[in-house]
Amino acid sequence: MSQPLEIVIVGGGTAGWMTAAAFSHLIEKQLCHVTLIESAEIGSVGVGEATLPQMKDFNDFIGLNEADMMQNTNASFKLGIQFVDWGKKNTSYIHPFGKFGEKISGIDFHQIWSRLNTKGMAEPIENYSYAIQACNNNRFEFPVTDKDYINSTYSYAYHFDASLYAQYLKQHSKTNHVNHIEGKITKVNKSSDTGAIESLLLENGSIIQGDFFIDCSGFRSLLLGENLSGSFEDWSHWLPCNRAVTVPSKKLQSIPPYTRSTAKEAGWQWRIPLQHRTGNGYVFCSQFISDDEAAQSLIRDSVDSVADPRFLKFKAGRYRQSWIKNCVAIGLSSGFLEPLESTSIYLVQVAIFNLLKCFPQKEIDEKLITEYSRLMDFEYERIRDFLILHYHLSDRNDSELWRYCSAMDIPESLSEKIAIYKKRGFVDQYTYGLFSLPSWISVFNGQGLKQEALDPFAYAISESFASEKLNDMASRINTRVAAMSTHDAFIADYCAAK
Amino acid sequence: MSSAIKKVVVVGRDADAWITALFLKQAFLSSSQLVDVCLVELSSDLAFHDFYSVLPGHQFLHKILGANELVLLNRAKGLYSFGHRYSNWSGNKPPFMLAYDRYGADFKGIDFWQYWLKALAHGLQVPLEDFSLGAVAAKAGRYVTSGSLDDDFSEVSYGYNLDAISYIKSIAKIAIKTGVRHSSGPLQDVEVEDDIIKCISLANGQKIEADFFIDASGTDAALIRHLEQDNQESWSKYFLCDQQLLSSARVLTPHPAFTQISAFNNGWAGIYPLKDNTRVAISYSSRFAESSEILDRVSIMTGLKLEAPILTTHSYGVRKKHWLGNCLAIGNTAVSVDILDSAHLHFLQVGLSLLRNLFPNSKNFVSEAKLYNDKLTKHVQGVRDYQLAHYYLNKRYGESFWDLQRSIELPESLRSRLDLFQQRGMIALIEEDVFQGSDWAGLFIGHGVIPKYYNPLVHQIPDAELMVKFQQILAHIHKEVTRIPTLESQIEINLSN
Repeated sequence: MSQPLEIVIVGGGTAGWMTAAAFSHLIEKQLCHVTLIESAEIGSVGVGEATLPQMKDFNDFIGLNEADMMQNTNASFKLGIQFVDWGKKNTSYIHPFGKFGEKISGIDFHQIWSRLNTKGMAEPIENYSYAIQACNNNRFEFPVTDKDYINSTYSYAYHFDASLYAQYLKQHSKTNHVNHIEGKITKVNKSSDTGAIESLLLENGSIIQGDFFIDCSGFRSLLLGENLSGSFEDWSHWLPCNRAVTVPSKKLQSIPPYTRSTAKEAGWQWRIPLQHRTGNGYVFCSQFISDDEAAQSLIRDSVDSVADPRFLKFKAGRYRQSWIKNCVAIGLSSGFLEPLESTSIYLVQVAIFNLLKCFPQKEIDEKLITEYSRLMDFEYERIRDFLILHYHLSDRNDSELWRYCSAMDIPESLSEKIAIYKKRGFVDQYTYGLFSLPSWISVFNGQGLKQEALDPFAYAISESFASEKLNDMASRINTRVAAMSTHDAFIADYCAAK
Repeated sequence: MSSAIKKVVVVGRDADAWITALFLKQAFLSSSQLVDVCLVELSSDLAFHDFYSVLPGHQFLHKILGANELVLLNRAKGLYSFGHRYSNWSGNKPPFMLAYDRYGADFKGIDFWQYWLKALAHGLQVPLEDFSLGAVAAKAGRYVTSGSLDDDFSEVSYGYNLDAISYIKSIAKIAIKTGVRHSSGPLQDVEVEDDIIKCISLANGQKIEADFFIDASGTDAALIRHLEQDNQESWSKYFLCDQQLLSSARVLTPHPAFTQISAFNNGWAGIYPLKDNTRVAISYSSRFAESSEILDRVSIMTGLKLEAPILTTHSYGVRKKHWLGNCLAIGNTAVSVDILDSAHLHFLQVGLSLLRNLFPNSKNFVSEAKLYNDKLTKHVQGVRDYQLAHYYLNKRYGESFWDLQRSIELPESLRSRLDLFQQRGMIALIEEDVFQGSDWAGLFIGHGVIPKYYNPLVHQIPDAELMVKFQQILAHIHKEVTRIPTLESQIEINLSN
């Protein structure tokens, strides 16, 4: 066995500590040493953060106790995202972490639903989603694993305070021998031969050497962007929002088990319910609204804000290569996609898992870099297309942003998806990458794109049989949801904040 | 729904035609929208020795066809095949088994073969295949299904070897019974208007119109050739074997539970056991050998008397687009592949499953055709690469045929897959890959590709602990394989009609 790999993580935000936590168990095994450099001066972007169900896999992987983590981060549960005024004003829909109905005789549920719905024989599609009904009733319980039960048809994620989560991981990793250094990096030293990073000079004069560097420096992209000349792929023509203003407000009286995203004149506003307060933020495009106006709009729409608004700037896109030489960028340093579908932490997580798959050696290995890039590329592209869909699929004519978005050119990969859904309700199902059938169905449907005709095989069962099945599903969901505990009661019992 | 597809005509022969017609008829059987499925049967290409060697996915196809596996196997004198044993592909190295099963267990989410590579570097003598329950069972002549095992350690499955003529006879019977309307060719004329087939006419004067046509005619491409220009991609630079000799030999006793693929100086011979006899297929290149000398050599090598061999010529390749206008080329019409790795009916099966998902719901076919073509193309590439890797990775130095196969320039998709494996033992998979990571790793390692590095994270498990785990796996496989029935006894039970 060779010498342990000297890994240096730059940045102590969520991405930095998640990476440290994921790598820390390798330290004991003498596979690597991990040093994390964190500058007290540089604040973390951490705002109230919403996650995806994959977050639980990560937490399990690093060995967190769920209830303890939730207590320490003021967390609540999340069963989906409610989209208000997207597609059209005065409409709303929920993108659930769960299925719509179930296949009948091998036919996709949404085909059957669509067949009955055009004849007025079906309830709205959300009545067949357990997760959505639980959201609508502010209820939460853990899903069961037995697939015969209707309450096995969903999964869940968390809302938490991202800086508390980073703190929590920090304690967790420390116990696993991460070498934690406070200091500001003043110089990045590179090899004159290979161009790889050799060491980092800190303000106090100390030099940190390493074999492999992980850039978790946030938007600044200190190593990858500034020092390794990573080239940035700008996606702002598709995702024009480039600012966010955030403000916390008082806790909601009853904590909903979902994130809310409300489309506004020049962007959209999130509401992330935590146990002790509520995170709010207006993501907007500076071309269409000034910072002041955006802040006023945010405060007006956030009930009982409890602090001054803070501003963030960004550009949608990503670095073409997030692994260059002996450096990988993870998190905001590798790219930014707005948090409309809560993908930020997911992208950190997949970057970490992919890096473990392609675990580096001292010698730089181009083949490994190629594979890592391939794995990250389709994650980014799938999320990108899904986000663009929300903006593009819109009848809103009331402001310039929406007029721009519905008219803009979209990636071919997305226009093909839209075309074939519209023609026949077809959604391509894939194993690799985010967003499966129910996600696409919920947005298409929620934003007013109707399938014009059915899959020819949707006629393989009789109307009356289909209708009977649908009624049964809706009533099983209703009955079971009514017996669930409320989200508030569940939190109080399971993970009340300390 | 006035523009719905009401009539589909399949024009073709043998497996592609009959299975497609039955598949569609079956799919629309209970539908409230009536779709008429007609088959125009062209003269069969099948000769006495012809057989189909198919992958485990074919089990699923039988289910969809509403066909009873046991009945079909009995009628087609077929046998289960749990994988392929490759002999003589790598100089003096012992044969290796590629079974339809994975290897070992993926501790800590890392592919098992990464641990095996580490152990190999530390002197382990046990071949990778011994960690595959399917491979060990196949070698031991056992019959196993994953359902008969107590845990999910193994994903073992089987394909079949079938006598082609009797298999198709049975399928045809089911198809007619299910309601496929049948007429006989030959085809006289194909009428095309605006890149759409309007109508076909048969030699007997019958004219047939339809909304959608499926070309299952094989190399003739009887329909689709009327719609295409420059639509062929030839693989003759990759696959040098253009000749195939088919023959039969005596039954092997006991019946092997696998298909044997043996290389010789100018090509390879496949031994496909059936219940009452054995089919032998020999692939070679006309540039390097004559059929007479090939026959002698294979007879000696296999110890089998090869009866009444029939020689055919092949050129491998793919149509760039398989769906043009209202015409879909299926199976052999879409792709003509080498028969290594039992790819015989694989593209028929993939094509049908894509068609099931994308069957046109109107007479505007653009979206469906685009997606279908994209997906099938990626799918084909993966299988072609898998087959090609066998040839490319041979170690028969000093034999002109094999030397030439080793020197071909690989397509980029295979080059990069092989490079990554050679460097790091990793397999990069895409959505459309039918052969999974363990299939590729088994192939590469079987042919002697030992990666330069393995994933350092395998060191998470200390050496001693890893050895214990390895021994547990070997013991577990041994225990299971002694417990399960022999193939011979299963043939008694299932296939003695």
